[in-house]
Amino acid sequence: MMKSEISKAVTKKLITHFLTLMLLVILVLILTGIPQDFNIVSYNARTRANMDFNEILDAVYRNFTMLINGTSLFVKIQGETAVALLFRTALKSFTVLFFSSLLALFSGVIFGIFAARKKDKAGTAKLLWSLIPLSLPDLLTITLVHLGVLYLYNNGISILGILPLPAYGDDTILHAIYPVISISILPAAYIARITAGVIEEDMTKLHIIAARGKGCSRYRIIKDHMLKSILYKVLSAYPAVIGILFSSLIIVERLFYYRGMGFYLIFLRTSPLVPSYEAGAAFTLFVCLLCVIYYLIYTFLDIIKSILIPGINKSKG
Amino acid sequence: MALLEVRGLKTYFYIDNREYPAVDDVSFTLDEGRTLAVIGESGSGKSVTALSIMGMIDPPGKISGGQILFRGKDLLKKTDRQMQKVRGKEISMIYQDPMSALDPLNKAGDQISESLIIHKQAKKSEARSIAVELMKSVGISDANKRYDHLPNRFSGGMRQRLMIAAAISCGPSILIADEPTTALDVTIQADILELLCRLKEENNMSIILNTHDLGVVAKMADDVIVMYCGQIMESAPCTTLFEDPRNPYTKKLMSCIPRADKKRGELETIKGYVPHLTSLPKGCRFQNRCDLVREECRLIDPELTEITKGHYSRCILRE
Repeated sequence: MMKSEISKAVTKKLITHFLTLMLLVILVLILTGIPQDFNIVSYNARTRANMDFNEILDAVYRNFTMLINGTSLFVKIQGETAVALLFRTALKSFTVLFFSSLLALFSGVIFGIFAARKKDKAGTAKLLWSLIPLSLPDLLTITLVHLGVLYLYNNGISILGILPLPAYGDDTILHAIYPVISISILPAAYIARITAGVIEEDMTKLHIIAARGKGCSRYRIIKDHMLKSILYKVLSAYPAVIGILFSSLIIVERLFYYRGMGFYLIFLRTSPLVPSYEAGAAFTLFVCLLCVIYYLIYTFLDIIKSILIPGINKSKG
Repeated sequence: MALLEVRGLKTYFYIDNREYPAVDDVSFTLDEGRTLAVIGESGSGKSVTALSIMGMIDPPGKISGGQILFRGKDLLKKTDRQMQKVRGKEISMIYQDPMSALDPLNKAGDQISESLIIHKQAKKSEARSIAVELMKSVGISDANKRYDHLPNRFSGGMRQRLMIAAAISCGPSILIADEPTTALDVTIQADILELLCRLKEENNMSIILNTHDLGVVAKMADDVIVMYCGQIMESAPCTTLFEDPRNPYTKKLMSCIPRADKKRGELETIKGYVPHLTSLPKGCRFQNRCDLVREECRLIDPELTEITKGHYSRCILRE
């Protein structure tokens, strides 16, 4: 691909994603601006909203203006400004997200290589190993890990000679280990299935048969002839993986009492300790930041993909 | 001792608990420095025979019987790991479609050096310099620069040259060329065939040439076997086969060759189609397309019988 073609494609992607992000942020502001006590009620056989449209519109407008003029950044949440809380929790959450995405990537690819069925075997067990975690709801998977963690912790059981890892809290980096493991199971299974699928599909391709004809072992075929296409497929699926990680973040942080952004999203919406005005403003801020960060990652991956993948398509053609 | 001796090879496909004979009781020998052409229509079992020799038959296919003796040792008794040491080093293969036989994501040159690294334990730099020489020898100009190009930057003919260079990189004793010119332009075909002939002479290789092009056979082969529905219908030295074909199927194939001295009239074809493996007729497999068919042909599956020395045919009509 020529440099000018790349820069043209990248610019196009940047503009498209920026516009989509703006739309998304507006949508978030509208949704988070709707008052928490808004409800639709039935009374005397009539169904109606408990507040009129102008009230909702005013609240949404206030939400917009608070974010634009920066008021929502400085509302106090338990004596701490929203922006300070945001940075403190974001650091914790992104530690979990960063390590869990790496763990999901490496364990998923490695597990996928082993889970790929050989042609002379039915390999049902191998198929199930990657399908079972995918077919379970993430809440159940994370809860099961959590129960296991509690068992280990309560019985003082150490793994690989490491002291019993803390099952609760967020004081040290060790506290992030269990959240990282439990959040990365589902994405790892997803990546493993993609990897196994690519291997099973590619094994029948003529260039792989030709590589076998040169005397390549299965390991060498995967390493030299399939790894790139596996990584391209995984890269294509990575925005979905990031999406899974983001959505599971709330559950994991809540279960492990790991006070990151996900934890505070629930806290701000449910805790009576924070006044609803401050809670609403901070909640909007948190959701907007999550939205922006997700979109930045998505845009980055999409640009990488658009640089790399057309080259592959071209080379296949 | 023959370089390669295939005895009663049976490669069957097993689908829904039924067996389908893709290669059925095939026997032939290949001597050093000779070219054996395997001719037949699509679906006759040429490629499956080649893949059987390479030990690359995947399920649902399975080699159900026979022997493949390479320098007297039975390849069918070797494990897959042992066969990896034979493939690419002792027996190499080039494929019909050079467009998809090269890895689109790996450098062209690396695909030639690969065999050298695997079989000769060459270092990457050594393998590169040998690969560049090989690229030059198969007619790729500016080889050092083009080593780093991806295959998409090569034309079909050039890709086939790359495949050939990769196949001969470890100096194999046998090169299996599975329809090497089928996917190429007519103008390129002659170049590739000439290249194969030259390399055969230079490296003293034996070649198994799968083709359905009788012109190619006449030009290159020393011996020929004619296959139909997984069986050998006729086998003979090349000149004998062209001068005195005995099997009705071979005769029909010969009659399909356009002749310069026959100016008018429709081109000959063989009526009907090759029967599918799932519905092979009882008796002679060519019966439904044979002009000389008799009642016995529908009952008896004829044996491959020696007619004259070294000339075999599978037909109840001996003359």
